[in-house]
Amino acid sequence: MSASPEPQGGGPPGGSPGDFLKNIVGKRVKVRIGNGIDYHGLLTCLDGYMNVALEDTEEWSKGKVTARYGDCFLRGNNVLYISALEEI
Amino acid sequence: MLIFSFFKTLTDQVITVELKNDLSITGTLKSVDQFLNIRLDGISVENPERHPHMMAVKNCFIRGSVVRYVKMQARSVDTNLLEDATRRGELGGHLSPSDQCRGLKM
Amino acid sequence: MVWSLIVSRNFASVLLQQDNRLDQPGSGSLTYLYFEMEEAANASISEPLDLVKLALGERVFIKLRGDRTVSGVLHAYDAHMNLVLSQVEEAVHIVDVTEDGQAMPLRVDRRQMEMLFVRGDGVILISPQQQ
Repeated sequence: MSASPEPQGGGPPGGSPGDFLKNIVGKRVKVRIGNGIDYHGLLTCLDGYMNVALEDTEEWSKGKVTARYGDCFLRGNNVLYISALEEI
Repeated sequence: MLIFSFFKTLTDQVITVELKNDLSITGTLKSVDQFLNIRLDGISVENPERHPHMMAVKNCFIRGSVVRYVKMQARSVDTNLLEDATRRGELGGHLSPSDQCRGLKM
Repeated sequence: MVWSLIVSRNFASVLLQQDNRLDQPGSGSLTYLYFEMEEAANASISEPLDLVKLALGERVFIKLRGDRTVSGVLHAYDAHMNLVLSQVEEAVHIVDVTEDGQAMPLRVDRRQMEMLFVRGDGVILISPQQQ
């Protein structure tokens, strides 16, 4: 059994989903929630339930910004995915 | 646990429970449990004509999970006490903050 | 050599640092004392629930399932996001549809309530209200 290949030259770091979550704290992220609404903001922190705290958040719905929040808390059960908006 | 204690302080007060199916029931809070199931006495519903099947019902047990809101009088609540208890971290349910981090060992 | 000294578990860590690289010949070792402000800021919000904790006693904006929004002064919450609010305004956002399926302009039903418990399972978002 050979180890899985390491990502080549400056690609995104490999690792577990936990590593990913660890690496995106402090980065700008997109959080999609169940009903197709996205939240773009600076990820302050998150916990094991995927509860998320964001700063400077934009709420995007159908391609438009529908609200802005300075700080916002998202309840984890609504989170579909979290994706990084910048290099990690 | 905090919210459970909060509801216990409201026993024998008149409250209005709004359910997720939009039914609103007003009555005297007789008891509450850890799941926030609620027993109401002397009940009336907001639009009796829309809910004729509720006409004859005098008391009821409401499963906690179907509750959307509970409305109450402001004077029956000590807001400072609530805020202090919340800040002290008597955080609810069965979970301590450290438990909440389980599954996310990073 | 670096010693770090935790002064307050939650608010700030004070770092007592002796940095040998900066030692001037003959001057003895230099000792720097500074607050790690960034650390302090992160310590105040170390988990998402802390954001809600900081909003206690403040007016918050809440998005709920079922196209509802609520604004009120936050007095209590728990890990389920069960909430107790006062001076509440609830708004229900309704899109009426005509008989031929055309969406009518958004309608908003508003209600005021003096004291309200909100069950946590309906909560989507909580934000301290900017005023």
